[in-house]
Amino acid sequence: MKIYITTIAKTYYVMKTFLALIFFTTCFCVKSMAQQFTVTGNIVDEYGHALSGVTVQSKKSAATSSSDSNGTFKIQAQSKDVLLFRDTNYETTSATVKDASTIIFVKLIPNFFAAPDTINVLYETKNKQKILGSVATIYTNQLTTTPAPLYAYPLTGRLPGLYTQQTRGWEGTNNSGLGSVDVNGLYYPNRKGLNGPNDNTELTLTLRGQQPVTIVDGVQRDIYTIDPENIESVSVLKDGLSTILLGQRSSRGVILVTTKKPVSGKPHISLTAQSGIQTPLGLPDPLPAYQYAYLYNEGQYNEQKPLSYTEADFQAYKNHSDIYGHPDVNWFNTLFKKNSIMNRYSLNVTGGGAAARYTIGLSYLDDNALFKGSNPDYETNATIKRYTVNSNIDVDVTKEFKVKLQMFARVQEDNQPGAGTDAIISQMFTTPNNAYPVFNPDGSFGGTQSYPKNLYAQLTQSGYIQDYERDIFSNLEMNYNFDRFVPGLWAKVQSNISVFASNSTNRSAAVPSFKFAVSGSDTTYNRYGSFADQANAFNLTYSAQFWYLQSAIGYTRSIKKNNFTAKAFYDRNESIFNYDLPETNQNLAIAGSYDFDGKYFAEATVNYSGNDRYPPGKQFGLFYAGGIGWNITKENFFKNSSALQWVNNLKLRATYGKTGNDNVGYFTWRESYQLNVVNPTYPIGISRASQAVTQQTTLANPNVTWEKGDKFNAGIDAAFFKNRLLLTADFYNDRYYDLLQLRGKQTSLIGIGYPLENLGINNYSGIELQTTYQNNYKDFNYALSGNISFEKSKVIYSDEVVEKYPWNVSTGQPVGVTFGYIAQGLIQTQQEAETSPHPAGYILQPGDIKYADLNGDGLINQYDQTAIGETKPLVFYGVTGNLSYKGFDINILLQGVTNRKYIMNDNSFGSGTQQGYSYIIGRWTPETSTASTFPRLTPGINANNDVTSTFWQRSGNYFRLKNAEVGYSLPYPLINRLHFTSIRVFANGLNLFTQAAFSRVDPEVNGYTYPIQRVINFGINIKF
Amino acid sequence: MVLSSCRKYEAVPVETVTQDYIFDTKDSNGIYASQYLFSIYSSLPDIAGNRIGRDLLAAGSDDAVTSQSTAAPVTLLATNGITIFNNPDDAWSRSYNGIRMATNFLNNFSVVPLKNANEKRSWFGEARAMRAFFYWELVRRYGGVPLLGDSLKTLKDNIQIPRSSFGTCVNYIVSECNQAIDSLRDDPVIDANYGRFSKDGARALKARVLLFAASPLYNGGNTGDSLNGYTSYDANRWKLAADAAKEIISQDVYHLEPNFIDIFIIQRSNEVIFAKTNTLGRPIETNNGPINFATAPGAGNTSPTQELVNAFGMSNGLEINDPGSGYDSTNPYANRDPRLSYTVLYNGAQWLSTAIQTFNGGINRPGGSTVQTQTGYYLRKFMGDFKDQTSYQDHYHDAIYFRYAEVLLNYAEAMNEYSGPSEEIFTAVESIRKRAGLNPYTLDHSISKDSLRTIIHNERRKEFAFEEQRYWDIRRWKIAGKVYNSGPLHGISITPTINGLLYNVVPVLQSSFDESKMYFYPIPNTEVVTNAKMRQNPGW
Repeated sequence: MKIYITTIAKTYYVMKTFLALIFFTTCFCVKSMAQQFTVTGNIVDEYGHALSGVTVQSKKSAATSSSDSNGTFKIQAQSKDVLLFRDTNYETTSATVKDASTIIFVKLIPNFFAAPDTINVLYETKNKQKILGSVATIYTNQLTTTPAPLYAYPLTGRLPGLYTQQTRGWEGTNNSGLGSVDVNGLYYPNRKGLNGPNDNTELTLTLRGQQPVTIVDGVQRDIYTIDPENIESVSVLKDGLSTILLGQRSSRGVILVTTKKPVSGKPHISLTAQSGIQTPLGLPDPLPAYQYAYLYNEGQYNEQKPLSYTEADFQAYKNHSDIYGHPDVNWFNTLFKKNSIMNRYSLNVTGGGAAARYTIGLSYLDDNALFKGSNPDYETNATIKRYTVNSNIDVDVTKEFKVKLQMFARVQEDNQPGAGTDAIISQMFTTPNNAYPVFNPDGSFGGTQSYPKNLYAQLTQSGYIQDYERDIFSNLEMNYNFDRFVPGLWAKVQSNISVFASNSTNRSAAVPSFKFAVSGSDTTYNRYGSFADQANAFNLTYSAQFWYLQSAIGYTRSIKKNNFTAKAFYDRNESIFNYDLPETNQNLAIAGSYDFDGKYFAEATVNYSGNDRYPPGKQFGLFYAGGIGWNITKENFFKNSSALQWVNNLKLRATYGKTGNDNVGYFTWRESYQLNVVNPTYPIGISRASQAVTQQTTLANPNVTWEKGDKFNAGIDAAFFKNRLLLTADFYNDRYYDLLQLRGKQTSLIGIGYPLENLGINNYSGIELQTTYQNNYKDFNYALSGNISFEKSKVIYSDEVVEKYPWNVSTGQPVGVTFGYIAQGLIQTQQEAETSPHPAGYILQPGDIKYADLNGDGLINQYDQTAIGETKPLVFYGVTGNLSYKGFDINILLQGVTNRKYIMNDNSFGSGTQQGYSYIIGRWTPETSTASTFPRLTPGINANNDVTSTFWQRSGNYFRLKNAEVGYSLPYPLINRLHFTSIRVFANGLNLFTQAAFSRVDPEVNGYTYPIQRVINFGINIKF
Repeated sequence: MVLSSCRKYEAVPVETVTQDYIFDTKDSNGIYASQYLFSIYSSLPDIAGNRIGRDLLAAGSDDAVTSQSTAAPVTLLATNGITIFNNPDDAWSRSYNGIRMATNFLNNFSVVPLKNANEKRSWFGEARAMRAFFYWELVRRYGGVPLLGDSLKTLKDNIQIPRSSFGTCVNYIVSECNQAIDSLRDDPVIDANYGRFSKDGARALKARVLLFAASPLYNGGNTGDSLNGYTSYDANRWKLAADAAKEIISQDVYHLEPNFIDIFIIQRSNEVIFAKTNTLGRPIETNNGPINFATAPGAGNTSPTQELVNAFGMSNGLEINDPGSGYDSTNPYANRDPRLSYTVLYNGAQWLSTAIQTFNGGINRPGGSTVQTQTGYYLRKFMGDFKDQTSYQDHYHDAIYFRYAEVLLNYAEAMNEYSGPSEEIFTAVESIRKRAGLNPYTLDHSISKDSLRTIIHNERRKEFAFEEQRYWDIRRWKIAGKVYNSGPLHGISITPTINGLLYNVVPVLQSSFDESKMYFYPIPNTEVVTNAKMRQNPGW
């Protein structure tokens, strides 16, 4: 708002000066002032395509005109006149007329929040007015401002109903090879029934509480590495009707990604280069060695154990007088750089004629992790190099027959230190500062028996592991329009073949470390850890093939005001993962819709859907959904009421769907035996000859079937004030049943594991609101969009073990709520310690956590655990604002989550790790007693204090300045002379500012993983 | 593109092994049935390993404590810490898992046309003996348990089965053993069959079960609940136990291994009746060996107690508190029962040709935050006889369930209880002491039944230290309350001074035992709440 006011003030100042000038000039040039002349010009879009129908308005003469199909316009103007160019889909812009000879070149840029009339929904595009379900969409603009390696990042906070949590700041890689053991002619593949490949390891996405199905250009694939500049839109389909064509997968909701379609015209090229600086967030604060030693001693003292460090040790740690014997190494400073760099380049070309059009998008990502150190022979830092190509060719073979061909390909090369990025990171968190010196006096790596692997050696001398991933995704779509024979009849066939393969080359090595010791004049170096020459192992880590066929025939007919559509649909999705048998999903569906004059809507789909992983004869089921809608603004009473003209749209809609979810596993209905995974062989006889060991897997569940959902959604879409204010509200109630879970009444007497059975019932309900306001003051354009989601879940039925006490029961609680003890602060006195309830076998002492003994038996055990997690509905929201004025633009995303809990699990000493962090200084001591923030210190895991309880629980609420961008586009007339259509420089950022209720850690990341990052990114985009 | 989808696949993964593969009606070698039989073997408890957390079960008795933090699971066993929710030595579900496998084998193996009929009979016997073994695992922990017989339960069955009485379970195990003995191979089995149940293996199991059944805890000494023992004392149970042991002795197949240390590390000892064979390795050494041996790194997880060390008398056969023993508290490890140096590593003991330093600040007890001995002792038993660091290498670590020494001491104990001291008993006990290297090894043959009992009990403690005997012995003798509750367990704190080493006995762990319930493990809570007929043990 402040910016807005100052801009107005500035404008006012400019106006004043301008008026003064006019007054001054009038005195001398009265003649010229009155002179009107015709100005001509040309209006284009970002790519230089002519824009027709743009309103042109002269400020002085008040004349209006509009552009023709070539984008040219003529208008009467005066000297020093200002022309305003308006179009509903573009931002208003202005141009100044110098004199009659001026030819005006104007480029319009699309509105920040695009609001096209048609929206990409499942397998088709649909008129916005006809959508009855709950669909939210964002477009390229909102995707490209986020500097991140995946397009999943910019989804955060922008789509109502989609909850995201970033759990790590660097991709996770899988290096373990596939393989199978052949024992006496029987094959035992080691990793059967894996999930499909997914290139998003960093963010968890849930849509109305379910893990969504990702659909890229009509095909189910978990691909998150498409260049955002290549994406036209990302939609979330949240209700049962919108997803029902997925049949057995329709319960989960859909993230629908549509890549950019070709635009005809001469080739237009868009080139972007950007470079980001990444800074880690939420790194811990390790204790310096002397403090660590002191506190460790305190822990030993508390447990009546001999002290580990002497006064001389403290001094040596403190004054760093003996860096080899008494090291003090902050591993985060030693192994992490302050920043790392991510570079991205992308090139997009589109063009073509009436008969054929094409797009080609190329992108390259070069991302680097934070690791310091190097090796002269090879790269030691973790890096990602990714190349993607996406191309579309649309060919109109005849007027009726249209063919689209799409190819997406990705090649990715990852590098990491041979010891493994994740392993190094987790050791950085758990290795104390005094564990060992990085180097010994003779230059060898320091280490001890407990820490035989030197971290710096693991980073720089452990060789490297490379991963290669390849994705090819090819789509062929054919549409035939039978209008010539039967008006309104059409047919479509889509076929997709896609493959994914990943492999790794493991050239890791191991270097030993040495413990340096001096006794008298004698120095010794004791070796720990092992030598291992650099390995050279090639592993196939994943291989997947997908084959998809879709065919549909449809009919569209309008009789007077009655509009009908009907569609028969069949698709078949076959996926082969590694050595598994293919999994085939098939859907045979009939869909129909009817609307009367765009006023009343009705739609229904019935889908007979099957998955061949279910027992024969039990593979197919019937899924159906329907919806109704009413557009009140189309009613006569509404149309005729002049008082209601400010309401442009008001539509009520509701859908219901009976949906499915086929998380069937790999032939779990068949009883089977397998090689014992833990001990595959048994040694027998005095030679201990290896004998294979075959054991029965869990019991089979011959009745296993798909999970089901009853999904209801009701919503309202409204538009006000010439469509400037848009409002969408949705209410949903989704009841999921036949959920697979283990039965509660399991007895071990059966002697074998129980299978998953269709038992559970969960309910999810919620409200989602989204509103957008876009307007301009002259050529000052502004837009604001906000969304908020309330999500509530409840376990309706869970086949629990008979729980003795009501507070132990999870039925009726939110789904997945954390159970634990209720902490009542720290015990302060010996007397309190003796009288407080305690875990069996544990003797409480002052400084221990006191728990509520819910069943009053004097013991703390499972009976005293209750739902301590968040029981209120989850709330998440995002607000995006955009301003643009004369080539400058700025946009901001604020995002946050409320009613969320965070459980700390980095309790130093206690949680098994040996490292200590500065927050344990607040531990309980007799002196600090009630002011303490941490229990008394004990070495190792403490049976009383290190259990899940409210003591370790904090609010997980947070609010972030998630993303912001400022950009400047060079004036069009200037760059047009250089044959560019656009040159824009920009700077943007990710995770710029965070306000968290619990700020010691990053609120999204839990555990010892790669930190999430703040990114400041600079770039330039050139279009010509 | 369309054509490529027409490839045909089998409807189910035929490579997945199903029951028809395991019990193949055409395979005269029974290859897959044999793999299944070995899966039952591999389910036997690995008592030679650090199976409780990273500790030996002995660290839950008065023989040792864990070197790890006090929250190590095994400590719960020694400090009243087990609950209906958490028992680090819970054997309920793994035993019933083994029982199901054995029953499945017994029910279905007959269709396999194994060529050698004797072999086929023996495989049945092995499965049956292992099933009895699994029941025994349950009974000694929980008392009487549900007996499932030959039924294999399915998902549809309502599995609400009550516990059988202790006596019924013992009878069942004994009768199953008898049935197995009929079909098992004769002893000694050929080398290739070493590690499989033999006739004497099943006899040794029977002998042990009967010894337990005759012992004070069960033989009328419990709360009077038939689930946890016999309701009245019957001296004849000692006779049955003695007879069962005698049966093996009179076979005269097994003999004591001349060299004590060899029992645990050589390829096949003539003393081992039944063991779970293990591949070459050194897990015992890496888990329990002394710390700070650079090329032979041990984690030092087990800290033997002073109580155990004191149990070992002098090499002249006298106890250390015997006035004439010659024990010197300033040089406490000299002239001790030779088994002591094969059982624990004490300060000054040789390990890899180096003298162990467990004095405070010594190389193997340096202080600091590293896991290290809590008592001044490290485990020595089961470890290889290594001359130096370069000879530190893999050897055999079988989980020995039954060895001849136990049969002798079982016999001695049962016979002494039944009829008092006799020459046969002295012969048995003295043979153990002789092999141990005591000189003189003979006992005073005029001692009373009570004195002889004390000697036999202590002989068991020394002979079977860390072999998962003591932990159960103190329970069946019903002395666990006395053992755990008579003050803390101790270690030694050795301070180097200018006048030599100063030995101080120091407390290391306050053990405790609730006699009202701890003699029997609690039935896991889920088993009680899901089975209306399941009765929890008293006190839990």
